[in-house]
Amino acid sequence: MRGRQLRRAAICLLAVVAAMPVTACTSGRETVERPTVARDDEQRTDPDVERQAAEKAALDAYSGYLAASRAAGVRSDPRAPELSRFLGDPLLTRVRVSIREAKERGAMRTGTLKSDPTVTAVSLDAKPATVEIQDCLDTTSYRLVYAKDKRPVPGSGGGRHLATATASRYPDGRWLINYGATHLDQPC
Amino acid sequence: MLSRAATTRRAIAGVGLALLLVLGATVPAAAALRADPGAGCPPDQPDCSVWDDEPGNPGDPGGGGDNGGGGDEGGGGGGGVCQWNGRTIPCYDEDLGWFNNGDGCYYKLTEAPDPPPEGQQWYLKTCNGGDLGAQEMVTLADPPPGFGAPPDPEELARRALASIKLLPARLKVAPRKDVGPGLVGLPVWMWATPTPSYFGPLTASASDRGLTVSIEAKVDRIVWNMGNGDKVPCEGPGTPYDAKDKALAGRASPDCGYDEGYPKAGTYRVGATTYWTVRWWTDGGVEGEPIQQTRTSGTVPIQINELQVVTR
Repeated sequence: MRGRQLRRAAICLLAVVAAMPVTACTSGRETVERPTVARDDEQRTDPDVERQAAEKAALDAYSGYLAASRAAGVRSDPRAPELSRFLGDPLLTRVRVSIREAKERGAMRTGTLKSDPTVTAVSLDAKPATVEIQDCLDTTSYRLVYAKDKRPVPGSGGGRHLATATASRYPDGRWLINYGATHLDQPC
Repeated sequence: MLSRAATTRRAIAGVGLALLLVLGATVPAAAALRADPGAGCPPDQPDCSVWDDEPGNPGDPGGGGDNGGGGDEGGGGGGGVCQWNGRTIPCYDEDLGWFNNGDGCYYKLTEAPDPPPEGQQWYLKTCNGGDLGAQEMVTLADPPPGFGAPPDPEELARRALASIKLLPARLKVAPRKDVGPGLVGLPVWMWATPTPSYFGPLTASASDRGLTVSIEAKVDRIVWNMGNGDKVPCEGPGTPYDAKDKALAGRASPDCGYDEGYPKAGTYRVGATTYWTVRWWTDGGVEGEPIQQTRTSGTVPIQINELQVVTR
């Protein structure tokens, strides 16, 4: 019996790592194991729920980052405190320097961006736990302009490109976007 | 019971192997994604490299502040406390942290999702003198050299100096070789373009964490090298010789000349070095030890003929 349980647990673990649907494990445990390990189950969070919560937290951090970065870019404020609510290093520093470089040259961000992010991978067992995000980010009308006359900065400008980001769970439980990049070679 | 335990162990071993295979397949992909976070711009800043070609950009090797100037052999451009590729760069950057001259990287204490190993701390490391494309998270037991240093007024003075150009003087002489030769023993006039770029005063300032240092750079003297071993020091840029003013013919320059003239005929190359003094002071009124700089100009030719007495 013990052996069967261990084997089952191991198989479930494998299933999670392989990013296969987790429901099979859950339902299996519900039907077979519940009578014997009921107490354990009550304390453990449902992996499916945990996964969904992680995805939501990661997507919230991602959209929070875009909004915070936009607000900071419009104000040309690289020190905007909301940036660190959604971003971790190295991306936090990267975004700050980008806003600062524009500010030092009298430029600012204007307009809006269109985002439609999806989660491509969830690794809750990894250290740190991460969620990978992919986005077809449309920055066509999100321009870098000179503050004094709103003239576009020569050579600037966006488009619709693939963007990837990694959200990681920090020790205090927060999910922050700490890696992210635009892929100019991959229009979408 | 024994055989069951063995089966269990085998099952765990099997799963372990499978895990290894699965992880082996996924980890490199994730690592590759994270290995070069700076390769692309942040998702919402696709044009973040738009400033890269401009001078003075943090993380733009070779940009801004090269004080060189043609033919300079004396003072040299930088001489700053923190240098990357011969360029003076800030020892502290508000976003990147402190510069380590030893490896050319900035370091800043930061947080990471996973705790650092026992006794170590997480740092954000930005290499190549501040290249955002060469950024990584590292754990260190001890802070790198230069880490945590307070603002240094002299470093700020050097940095302010690196932000301006002290140009070598643009030289003129009379007689001019392309107009005609001069004669042995007759006065030679020397002068240079008298604008601030060549003689000062030039001012600049640099700030770091509440400390501002201002500088003023001025030429104290210019030393002319007549090309025959003779040197003539002058206090200022000199007086231009006006060939149309016949009254000046054969007279010495009022302030900068080789009055006794060349003792021997020949073609000489005349050069000059300007000696700059860079005064600096903090916003608190503390004045530092002035920085000396020299700039050496390219040479101009002069031709001197023998004085011939014609008798009839």
